[in-house]
Amino acid sequence: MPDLISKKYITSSCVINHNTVYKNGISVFADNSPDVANFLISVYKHFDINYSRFYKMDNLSKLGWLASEVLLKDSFAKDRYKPEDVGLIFSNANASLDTDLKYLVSVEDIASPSLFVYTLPNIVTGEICIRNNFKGEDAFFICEHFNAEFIENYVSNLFDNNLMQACICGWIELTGEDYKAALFLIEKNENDKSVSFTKEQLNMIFDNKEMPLTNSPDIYVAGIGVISAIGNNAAECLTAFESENSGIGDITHMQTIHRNNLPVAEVKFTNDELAEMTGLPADISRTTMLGVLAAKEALNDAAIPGLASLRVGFISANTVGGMDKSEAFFVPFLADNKKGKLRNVFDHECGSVTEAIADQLGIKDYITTISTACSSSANSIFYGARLIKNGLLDVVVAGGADALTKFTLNGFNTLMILDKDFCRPFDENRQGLNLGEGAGYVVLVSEKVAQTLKNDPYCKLSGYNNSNDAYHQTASSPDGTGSYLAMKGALKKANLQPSNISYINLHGTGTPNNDSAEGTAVKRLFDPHYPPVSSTKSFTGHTLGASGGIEAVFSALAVKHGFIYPNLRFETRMNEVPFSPETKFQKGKQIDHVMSNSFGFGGNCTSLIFSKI
Amino acid sequence: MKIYIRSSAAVSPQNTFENIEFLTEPAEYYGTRLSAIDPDYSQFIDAKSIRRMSHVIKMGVASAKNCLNRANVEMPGAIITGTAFGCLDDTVSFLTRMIEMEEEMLPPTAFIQSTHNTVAAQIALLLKCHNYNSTFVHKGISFESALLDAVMLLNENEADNILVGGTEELTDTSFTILTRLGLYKRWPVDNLSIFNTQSKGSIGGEGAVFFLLSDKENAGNLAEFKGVQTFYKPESIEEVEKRITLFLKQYNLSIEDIDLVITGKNGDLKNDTVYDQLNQSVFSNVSLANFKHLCGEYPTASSFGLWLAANIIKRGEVPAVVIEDEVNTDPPKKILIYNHYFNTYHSLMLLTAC
Repeated sequence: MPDLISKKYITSSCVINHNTVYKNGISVFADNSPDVANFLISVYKHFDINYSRFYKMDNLSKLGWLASEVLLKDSFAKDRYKPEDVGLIFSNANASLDTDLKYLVSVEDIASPSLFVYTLPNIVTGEICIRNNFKGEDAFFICEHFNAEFIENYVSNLFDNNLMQACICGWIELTGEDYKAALFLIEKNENDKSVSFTKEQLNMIFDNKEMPLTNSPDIYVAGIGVISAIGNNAAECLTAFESENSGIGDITHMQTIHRNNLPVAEVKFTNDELAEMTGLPADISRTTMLGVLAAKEALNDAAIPGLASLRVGFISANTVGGMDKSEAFFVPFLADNKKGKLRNVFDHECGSVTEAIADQLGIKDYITTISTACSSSANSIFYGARLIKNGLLDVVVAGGADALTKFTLNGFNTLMILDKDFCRPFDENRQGLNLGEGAGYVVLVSEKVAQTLKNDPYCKLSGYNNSNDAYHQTASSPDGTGSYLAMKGALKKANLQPSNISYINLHGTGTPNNDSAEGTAVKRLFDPHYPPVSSTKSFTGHTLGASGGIEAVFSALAVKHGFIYPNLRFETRMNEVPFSPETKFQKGKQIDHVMSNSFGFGGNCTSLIFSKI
Repeated sequence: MKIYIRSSAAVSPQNTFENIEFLTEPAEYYGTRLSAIDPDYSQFIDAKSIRRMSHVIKMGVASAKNCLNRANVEMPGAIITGTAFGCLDDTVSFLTRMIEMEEEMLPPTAFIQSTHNTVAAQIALLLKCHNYNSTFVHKGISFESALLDAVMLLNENEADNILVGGTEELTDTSFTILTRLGLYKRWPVDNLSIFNTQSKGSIGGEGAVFFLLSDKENAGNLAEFKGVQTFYKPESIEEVEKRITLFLKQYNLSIEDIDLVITGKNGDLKNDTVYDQLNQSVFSNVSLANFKHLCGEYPTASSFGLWLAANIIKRGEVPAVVIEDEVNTDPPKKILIYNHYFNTYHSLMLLTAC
């Protein structure tokens, strides 16, 4: 009766090996425990399970029981099944040898009854059944190696003969310090994370080889912080968007010949004012001070309970480090290389800025800096997310900062891509960009940390991709290859279709070349159904290494509150594309997924997708 | 999953690029600055580009291409570089002209090539490689951050054949400034005897060292890359010792299992105190080797240390010039590299024979 043979799926998996716990192929916990006993206890504590029987179990049972807990958590709708329809089929090579030997040692003194009861391998299946009230078929097979073919055949047979509706099967082995657990949940119903129940899939999961595309733990945005020309925090920036107040104007802070000629988007505070607000000395880089303000806002906003006990990282980005101070150093230095205040050049490196901000935040578990030109902080955000996904950190403050410097202003000026008027992104008559300054950070947290938050997270970071245009050091390819690949890759990572995107926060610098390439890439990917798009650089200017961070903050707010930001000064649609950017601030929109683009020199293109929870 | 070093290539102040002799005739310098020995760049870069490229770009591109050639891989799955200072020569050149010309009539080339991601970008451009491309710029752990990124990409099954490199150039200007900042010795020294003199400061260095990481077994693999870990501002030497022990424990190893420890000793009195203390405690019973007398001190010098370790494992021999004291004659199978940067950033890397 072949019509009764239904398809079966692996709907969840858990592998525990080498001090690491993998759920659906992703590391969800790892530590440095000195031995297996301590490691199993830290797994128990990490997943915050309250089950006092755990401590009585032998190591084999602890391992199998923990694997089943991780396997079933959030992945198994127990109520859908009758207790007698859920079965367990386990296997290993050495049965309960580990405990048998320990029992043997105890016999020489006084035989331990608590050890004796665990001298059968099937006690582990019993422990799992007691915990979950499973009453279906259960069996424990002894075979030399994990035999995926046997498991597939045996379990399929039970399903096809209607002897069970759901099955936990796999391998639980533990002898001394050697251990491995690999459990699979088999069900008849497909879900978005399931793969077919075949021996190939079992083997791949067993060896941690294949990570099914969609099986990735979620990363949440728990807090945001921003400072830019349109506001000194997130609330002020939103007010500026709503009233359509651009932050672009004359240069007032820097001493340069371009004053009154090239408009820029300055943060309104002087260095002395920033120093007073941050409590830092006024002679450090402006980039550091901007970073401290935004990163602190983000961390305070997230208000993560018990932060001190979590593994916290700071991943920042910038393009020219403490260049504003190096400029001051070089004037006397060039006249006489024994002159120039060393204090001014000491923090020239990009990493110095990050380090100084991290010290102000009190973060030391992991800090690093990325510099990929104008996509820098978009990359730092998704590197941070991956550190959490790989089980290395629980919380990451990620983003970037860049202050205006004469170096970058003159650099962009030599490339003749600065507009002498206020920039007009995605307008047919655009003339170039206006430089800006600021900092933007998001606080990324794991699902476990997200559950402890008092306030709901803003959104999830669901997709990301970094691709290279590989066309020219500074110019974008005419068909926007890099941008296209980045957007497409981010959609794939998020498992979304272009039609799912509710709004695109464009890179949209306002240069003829960028907007044409980006517009073409959007057209290639989205035609004929274009989501609303806009470039917030028409408000903030192009903040270089900070732009990905600042726009991530705006994107998170857009998802949470249903905002679409206006693209200021837009008049004429670009010839090469059939769409125009949004020109009015809109709220109360249904925004499910926001794509944020950041593209830079060196062909570095990165797209991020933020999604509603 | 296992991660292997498929191939490596190094432009350094030693004759490392051709990979023929293995530090048997070490280059000797008298001074406080070691400059990279330039290979014939025309083998890797066309003449027009060579003229335009700064030293660090040439070193990086040649080293990256040589590394790919050795593995017989045309297109890497990702390109990741680490550099603390980036493209210093172009940066200083643009800055100098900007000040001297008072912001007028500036040519754009130096600015264009001054961004920190230029080396990784130029490699992508020459290979027409559209894959993942990133650059880490975090002081003494720039290279280690790039390595960690590569390890994660392999774990995530996002890419294979990942090109990872550490690059740094030492220019006249940066040498002058870093000397004023006290990084280098005040008097010229023989690089091969910096560990015998007790004085402040190290010697400056530079280079570009690339590796191709893969999760596939291959007879040509140099070594298995077990892992990398960094830590920031340890509170005491005891914390450093604990971190080292815990790092090894992750791989079910203790220090007794390690055949050779390669340290980042650099001849600076204060800097080397950390290593001296460890040599009395956690490293007291292991064979020790050093490398910064060969490549000089620079923020991504640990990439030279990793190159050394991978080649020691593959060749089964320890060059006499790197040996600190005496080394067990058996070919090392497990090598730990421990480096620190001003006692602020510390890094551990573990390699084993395949």
